[in-house]
Amino acid sequence: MVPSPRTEPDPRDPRDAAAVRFEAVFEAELDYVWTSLRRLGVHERDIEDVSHEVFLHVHENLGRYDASRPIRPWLFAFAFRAAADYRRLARHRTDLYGDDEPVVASHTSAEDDLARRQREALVADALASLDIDKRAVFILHEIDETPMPEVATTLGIPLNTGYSRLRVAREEFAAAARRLVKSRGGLP
Amino acid sequence: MIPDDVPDLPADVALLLADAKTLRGPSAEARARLRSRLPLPPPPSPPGGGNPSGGDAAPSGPSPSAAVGGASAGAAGAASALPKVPLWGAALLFAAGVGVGVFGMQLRSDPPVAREAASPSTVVSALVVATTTAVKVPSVPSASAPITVALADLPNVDVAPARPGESVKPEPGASLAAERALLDVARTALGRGDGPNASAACAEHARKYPNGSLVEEREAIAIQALVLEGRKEDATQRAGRFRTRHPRSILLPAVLASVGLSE
Repeated sequence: MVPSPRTEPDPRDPRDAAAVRFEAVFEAELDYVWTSLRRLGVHERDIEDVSHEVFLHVHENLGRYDASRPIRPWLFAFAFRAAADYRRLARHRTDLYGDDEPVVASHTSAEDDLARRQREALVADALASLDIDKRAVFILHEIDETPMPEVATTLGIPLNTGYSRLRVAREEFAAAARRLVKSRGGLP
Repeated sequence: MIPDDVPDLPADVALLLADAKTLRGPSAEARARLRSRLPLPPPPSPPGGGNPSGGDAAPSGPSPSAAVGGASAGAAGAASALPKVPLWGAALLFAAGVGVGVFGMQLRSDPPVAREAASPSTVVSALVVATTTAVKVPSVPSASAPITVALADLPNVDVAPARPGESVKPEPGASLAAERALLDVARTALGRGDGPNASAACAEHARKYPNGSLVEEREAIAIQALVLEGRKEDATQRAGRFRTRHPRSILLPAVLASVGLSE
């Protein structure tokens, strides 16, 4: 006889506690994972599928998450691996961040929204000039403000390698950003 | 300490990155689809019909995507003709609360929504959890006559003042379901932009379950409710206490983001 399913999670039950925790992580950090995938070069139309993969891995590994570390870098590691796999597929080589950019709910004026979106698109295009390894370091440190030791741990690289990638990433990003600003007739 | 041979980003380029910090998540529809594909509890049926699956917290496989339309708590008693609010970013889901899944607040062809990474004025919670459970809370006026709840009047996070005849001690066997139902009311109010009623439901939870299982979740909702009410300073203080008391909480990043703090 099949026992009837429990209708309430029992936090004393390690399986239910894990389910509850996973749900909390999903709802709290979906936006971060989604945005990170976009920054890493996953096309907008594919982010849902890649996010699905990421959260499946998160679900499998949540029991091994070290709560003494901040959660976002830990999640970023899964996003990074998924994005790297995605980009290896030949048909996804072109970075198309910015295509199909949706309308954004905002309380600012239409002009402000447009200018902000243009700046965001410029940053995205400048990011696209970085290879994924440097891009990951740059995103984690410059955008997510993760300290470099944590960046290195997250990406599984030596700290010196991290600094080296950061140095080059900063140079390349700055060059790309200035080139784009110039080609677009100035900063929006 | 970054080595000297790693030059800083030029100031003009660093300024560009400020806008890049905005999180742009999925539309409500995409969120619901993704949720249905993951080992998560299914969303509840829409109110007024359908299968009352709200109480079933057992993980399940793919299920129909979340129903559309506004959702409301079963018996908050405070439902009123509130104006619909735009889809806010969802940043928090609270650990035990959501066996019933998630509703979008207002579904249209919702595009991703931008949320400031650390904007104090941004309301971060977008989750409206429907429940068919009737929950009685202290009489809560409609939003047209909002309650003013002074922070000093709210019970302390850990200990609530005892009423005569009551003792403040852990509630052995306290019903997790009842706690969650109360927080569902709070979360629903938050989702529709009703800070005062969300605060009131949190205060009720704090009074009834000062040492309950969902204290972290309650505090996270309460902080957002204060932000909604425009009580930024109170929210910031409470967020600071949250950080001190729950330094490893998975809700901490979103709590701090709601008041513009960083970890």
